[in-house]
Amino acid sequence: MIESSVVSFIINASLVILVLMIPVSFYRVWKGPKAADRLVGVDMITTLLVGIVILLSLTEGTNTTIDMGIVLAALAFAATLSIARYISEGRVF
Amino acid sequence: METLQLIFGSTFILFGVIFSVLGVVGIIRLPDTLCRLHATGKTGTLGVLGLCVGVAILEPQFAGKLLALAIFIIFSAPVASHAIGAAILRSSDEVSGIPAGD
Repeated sequence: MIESSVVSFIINASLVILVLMIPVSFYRVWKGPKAADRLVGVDMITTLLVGIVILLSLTEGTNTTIDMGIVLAALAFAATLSIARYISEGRVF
Repeated sequence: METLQLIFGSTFILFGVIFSVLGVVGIIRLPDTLCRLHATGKTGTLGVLGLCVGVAILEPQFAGKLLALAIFIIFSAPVASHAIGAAILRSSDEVSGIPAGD
């Protein structure tokens, strides 16, 4: 897929950095004083996961990996909206 | 052409990764819930968009699905951030000087 070794190294290093950022943002989910802090942390984790899936489509070389990213973004959007409504009003529906 | 493609793709991927790291640093270091929401709302979206542009430059046949993902993220991320902000304002008594229910 990618011939140049420098670009391959950049992609692999970016994957490692993005994966290492997930436990760092899980610290906010663990320590957050309020429920909204934990929701912000979970939102950041799903954003990082979408980025990781996009980069994995380069290393895998298949077009269908991006579909996982689209579905993950849609599910994260619905989950964030419902949890925010639960935090603000005490109920989802 | 090939070299220019590799250079621009790598630059956009590094742009996206740097913005994602800055967003994570923001939600760890900033003092308030609304400040953390500000950090993750801007830099998360910009990081994923940079990754989309970089991958679309490196592999041009992926550009259709990446364009769909980018459009969805552009429209959904501000709505999610607004929902979290409204939840913060309605659930807490006082947020950094703003009275409750304001």
